[in-house]
Amino acid sequence: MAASVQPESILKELAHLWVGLGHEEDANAAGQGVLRACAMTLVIATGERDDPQSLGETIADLMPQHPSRVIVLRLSSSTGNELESRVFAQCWRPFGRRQQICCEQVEITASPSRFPDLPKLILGLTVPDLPVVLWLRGVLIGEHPEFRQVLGLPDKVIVDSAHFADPAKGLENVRALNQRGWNVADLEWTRLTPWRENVAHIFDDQQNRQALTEIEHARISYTGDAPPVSAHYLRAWLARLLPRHVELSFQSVVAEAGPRIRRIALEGRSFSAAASLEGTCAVITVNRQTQRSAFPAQSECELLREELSIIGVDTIFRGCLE
Amino acid sequence: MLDQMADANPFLDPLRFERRAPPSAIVIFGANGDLTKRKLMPALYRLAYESRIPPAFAVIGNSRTNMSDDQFREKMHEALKEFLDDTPLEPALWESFARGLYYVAGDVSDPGFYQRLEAKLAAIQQARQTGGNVLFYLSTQPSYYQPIALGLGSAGLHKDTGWRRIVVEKPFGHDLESARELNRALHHVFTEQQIYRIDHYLGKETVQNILAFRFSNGIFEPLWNRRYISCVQITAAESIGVEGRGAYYQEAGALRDMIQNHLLQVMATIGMEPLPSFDADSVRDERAKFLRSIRVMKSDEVPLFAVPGQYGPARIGTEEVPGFRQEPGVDPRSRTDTYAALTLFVENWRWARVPFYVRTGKRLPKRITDIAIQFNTAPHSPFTRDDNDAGTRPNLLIIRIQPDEGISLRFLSKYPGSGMRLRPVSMDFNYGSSFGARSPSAYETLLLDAMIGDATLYTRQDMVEASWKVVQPILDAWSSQKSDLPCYPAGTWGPKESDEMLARQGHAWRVP
Repeated sequence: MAASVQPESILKELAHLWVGLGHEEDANAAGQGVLRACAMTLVIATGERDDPQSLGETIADLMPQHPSRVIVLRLSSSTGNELESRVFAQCWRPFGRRQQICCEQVEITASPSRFPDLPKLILGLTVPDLPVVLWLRGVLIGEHPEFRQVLGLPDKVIVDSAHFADPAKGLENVRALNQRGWNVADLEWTRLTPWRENVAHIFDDQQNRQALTEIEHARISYTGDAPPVSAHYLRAWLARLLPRHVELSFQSVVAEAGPRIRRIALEGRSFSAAASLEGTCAVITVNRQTQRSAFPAQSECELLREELSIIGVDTIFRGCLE
Repeated sequence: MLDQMADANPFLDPLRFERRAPPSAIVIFGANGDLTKRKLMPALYRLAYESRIPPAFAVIGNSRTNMSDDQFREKMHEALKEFLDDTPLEPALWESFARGLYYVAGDVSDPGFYQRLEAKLAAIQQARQTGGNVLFYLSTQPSYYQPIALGLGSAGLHKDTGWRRIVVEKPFGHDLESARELNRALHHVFTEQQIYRIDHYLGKETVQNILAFRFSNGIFEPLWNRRYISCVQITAAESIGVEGRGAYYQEAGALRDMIQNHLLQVMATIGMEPLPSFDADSVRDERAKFLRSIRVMKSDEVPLFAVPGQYGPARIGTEEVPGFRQEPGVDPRSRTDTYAALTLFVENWRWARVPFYVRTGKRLPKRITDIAIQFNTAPHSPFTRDDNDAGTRPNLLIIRIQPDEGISLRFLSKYPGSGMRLRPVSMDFNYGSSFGARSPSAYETLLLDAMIGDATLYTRQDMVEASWKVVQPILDAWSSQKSDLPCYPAGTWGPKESDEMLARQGHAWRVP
């Protein structure tokens, strides 16, 4: 099988899959056929140590909102000459509906000796006229020069620098991708959306906007030994928006499990505001007046949902990176 | 850059952030009523849950019942427990939200009440920094609209350093004259820009999606006219009866309750001209222009183009269902229409001679609201007709508003096998399954819009008057009729006269 894996043969298998699904559904009482849904090609590059079950669950959760042709590239480190593929469908039946909706999934496993074959395979499998998104899940593209050709293809490349043990290296990696001109997204930045929204919320009030010049100090509290990449992004974002004289600092705090950013405090002589986390609530305090709102769960799937809904360039993120 | 900060919030990220309300207070008149408990309070809590209203926010409830702030909070807490869907009622969040709830008891016809309201607003503005921005929400019986507007005006509450707006629930009058009278009373105090007439149908995601569907896809617009469209059918069917609202309903009827407002607005959304931009004036100008283009029937045309109906008793399954006249609170000789079907023509180049069939009714076979665009059949079919005459079936584009929101395109396809047998197939877009995200309720959308000052989805006075002009001759003709209304058994698709009305135009109602 290894030698014969070609885009054409995989596409043929996909066609057979659809015919089979149609027959299965016709045999059921519903008899309404299946609905094929596809809004993009999502290529997921993953290492052999990655937990296939957790990835499968994430994909299954993603599909109802971002139906895609999913191509999972499982990069093995075996010394053999392995290049294998299998196709299957991700199906779900929306509540109260008789018709099943299905997406295609292609899983390709390759050992290093076959990595040079992968770009051609991926190029042949993308769905025409729809966006292509590449999600590097625990895989560093710099380690695989064979993928340079693939990287020219996607409309967006998603990484998660939280996986880097050294935040500085993680940031460097994202910057490098950005500098090469790719539309890169980092899930560490996505994790900041509720924080940034809460800070923005404070300044919906014109009186608070007028007090911006009074802010002298901005402090980002985080858990852990060193500020995570998200804390650096947050700092860059604040630095772009707050007056130049504001001193920005990090503070390490102790907290139970949960998001690593814990609090953002803006302080001045006659103005103080903070956004912080209390359990599952975000607490915004402005001059001692507080309000709580839900702090949304941030599963990997939730983060991806947000990123996949933005195919264009996020200029604010790019600005912070630069 | 700092000079600009006072004007716009520099921290916003339109790519990722949801819209938010500015600091403000909402005064709800009729806060002890069903609408507040079932719709307004759940919508406001949901907005707070999603952090879309600021800390500087307050709700002031009013009704005649004496209550303290804490009693009002408790009442609203109970309402949320009962009517909040899809959202957890978290204690810490509720506590934070409840701190912004206040109550002022009082009779809206008592001038002293407005003095107390003014004092309460001033205190709340001081305590919660609401910036003097106030949204007055009239959730009362329509007969109180005028006294409230005049009371607010006399007390000077209609203007301040912040913005002041008033939201009015339908019905906007009982007929054309009373609609004009209500408008005069509102304009005596508020400018048109301050008045937000709410039609919750326009806040539904799927009604808004009609605009996205029509004006962001290039392939449909060339077909969207008399050359390709044979007719348009708009159906709003309810399977339930008047459900204890008999006394109210017999004063309104289906034509007033549904068609004059909701369905004519939906029809305008389907038929309006393309927009230069998606802003309040452009959208409402085009809707108003379309409504003014609907041909007003002469009295002798009404029997040909409008059919009323009233549901009679029936057995549906094992259940004996009463007729309208047997419902509690309904006059046994009532001549109120529980069903109405109209054939409307639009006098412009795009829609000349294309009938728009609009129907609504209670106790129909199922609850559904949809719009079917029926295209002309192919001018010539080269295929042999099969038993089902499938080769001549027209293409249908169906926009489903509720339930199962989505869009379907029906077209003909070859059935597999030798020979050329055709079978209609459906290409479906399902809103819920394509976008797994939760859709905001119509009231969440509309309340947020009113606080932000976006009137795009609100009705303007000229739209209200234009739609009353369309239905007024029909109401007049029906009220002058001496004979009973056509009766239809509960659980059927309306009186046979309605089918005959379409048959005269060479069409038939589709079964949704």
